[in-house]
Amino acid sequence: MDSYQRIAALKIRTAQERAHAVAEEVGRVENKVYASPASKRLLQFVLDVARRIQKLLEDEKAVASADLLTPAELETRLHRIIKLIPVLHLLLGFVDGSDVHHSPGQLIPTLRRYAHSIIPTSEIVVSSKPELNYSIQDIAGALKNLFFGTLLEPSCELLPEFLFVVNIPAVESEQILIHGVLAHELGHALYDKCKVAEGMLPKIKLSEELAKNLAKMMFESQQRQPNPTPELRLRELVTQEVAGRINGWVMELSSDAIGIRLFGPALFFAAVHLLLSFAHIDQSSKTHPPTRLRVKLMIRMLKQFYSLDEWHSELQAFSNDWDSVSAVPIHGRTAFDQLAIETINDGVLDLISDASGTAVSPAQSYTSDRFNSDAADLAPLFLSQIPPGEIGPYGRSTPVELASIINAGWHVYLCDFEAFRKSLHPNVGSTRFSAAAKLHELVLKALEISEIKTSWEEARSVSKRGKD
Amino acid sequence: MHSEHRFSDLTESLKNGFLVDDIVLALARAEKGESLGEKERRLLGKAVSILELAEAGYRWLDKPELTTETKSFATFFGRAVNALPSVYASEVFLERVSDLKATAAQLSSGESTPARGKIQLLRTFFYNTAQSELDRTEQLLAGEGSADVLKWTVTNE
Repeated sequence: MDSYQRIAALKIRTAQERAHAVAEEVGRVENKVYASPASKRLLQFVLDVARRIQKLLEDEKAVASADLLTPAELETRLHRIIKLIPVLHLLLGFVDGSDVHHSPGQLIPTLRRYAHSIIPTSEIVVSSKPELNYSIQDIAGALKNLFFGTLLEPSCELLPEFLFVVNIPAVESEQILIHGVLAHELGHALYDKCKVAEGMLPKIKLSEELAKNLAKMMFESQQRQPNPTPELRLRELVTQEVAGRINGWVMELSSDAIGIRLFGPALFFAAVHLLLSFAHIDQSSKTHPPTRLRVKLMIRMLKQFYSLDEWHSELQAFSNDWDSVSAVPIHGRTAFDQLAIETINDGVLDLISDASGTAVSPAQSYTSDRFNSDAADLAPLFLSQIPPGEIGPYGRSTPVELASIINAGWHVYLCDFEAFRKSLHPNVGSTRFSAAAKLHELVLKALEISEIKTSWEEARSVSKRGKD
Repeated sequence: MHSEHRFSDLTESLKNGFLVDDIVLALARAEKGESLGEKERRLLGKAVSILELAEAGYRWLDKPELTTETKSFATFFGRAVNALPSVYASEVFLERVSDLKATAAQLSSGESTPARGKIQLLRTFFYNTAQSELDRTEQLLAGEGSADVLKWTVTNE
């Protein structure tokens, strides 16, 4: 045991060195210019945790020398603490790519303001990385939960209540219309924050008979195998697969539903364009439902909340196509998928749609009237190459909101793209790609103008209050 | 291409692991005959809860209702099955979990001390759970769950 205690002491010492290296790295990157102040807050958090991990490891020396644990138990215990170091590397990875040279600068202030409007105690870090991955997730809650009651808990005071880490693929950082999918991800945060699952999940009825038949079928099939999986393991497998799948799918669908309420048709347009490119329409997994089911929910909600028959004919044709496609029955690729598909029927989709209303206030919701007025008032400005960042008479104009700009941009992209392309200088509109790039540029410029206008109004208001 | 886990899966796995490691340490003290303080007894109360979740997870399929706890039931059932590698039959599993729960409850209440062999079984169960949770953490860190992922692009499991 003495030799093992010495090895444990060495393990602790080298882990402390690794933690120190993380702290040193923070020193190297903290002077970069970041597009959002939250990047530096996260760096300060990493630095603080890295220092405290050294103390946490130091305290483990007493456990190691107490001769209480077996070598294997001690190894596992120490290894767990050491696993916090790769977590810090992940956090540094979140910050990487969020400096002004990499992240889409025009988008960030607007997105930050939007996140504040939905969740006032939130902050965002936006990074652009060379990987095909859109994400936005709150990491503050997860870290606070992890460190609660430990030596590392005080570090969490450096974090805001919600810290959304947004990742945008570097090659698509300018594809602003596709960034509408971030509304789905904001949906995840609201799904958790508003505890949408609590009221909704018990209302979803999973067929007891179907679940039992599935287990029975698997058991009988195993019995015919030369080395059958024991019944207990099968039961565990079925429980994990069914419970995990339905919970996961309902969460994803609910996030889509919340996203539709926040961003309206723009989320649907962004989602179908992105999903269509990268996923088979009926492909699903334990955590994500098939695209066809997601489209079905979004189309149902659009039909419920929007006057689709008043939309531009191109848009009507587009949504009708998706409506037809989503009506085709989905055949699960596994028995578990099939059970989830049969459980999440039309009634459950409506339940999800209704429950999403508890997470989004009417003031935060994008509406049919807004979409119609954005299509009528903002979209034509794009056709004249005017970024619609503010609207109204000269001197009394007001900033245009994020969701309106994105929806108007999509309207042009789907309904008037050829007209937009023809309106450009022949050199700019020579290819479809270059014309699309110009449209994205105008949308980004509109966001920038909107943010400048909003900031200016805020500054004026503060200055006026100061005088009063 | 991308995994489908979120950062919270990783932190949840680590949190569960820290708890189970502390339970193992408390059981090591108990097995050595040390008197357990308030902190250790509270930890053993949590051990009882974990075993109850595992039992609820086992029974979930008999009446599959969805709640916010469903995922925890399934998770702890899975961890318990992995922690009892030589148990294959349902009856034995339930009996074993029930025995373990009784030992943990006895230690948690502090009213009497279970036999050393019983404490040893409980300690082995939680050590196996700790090891299984560490494997899960490593999987999540190794890319199956690289934390900054979100899956708009659904991929094969």
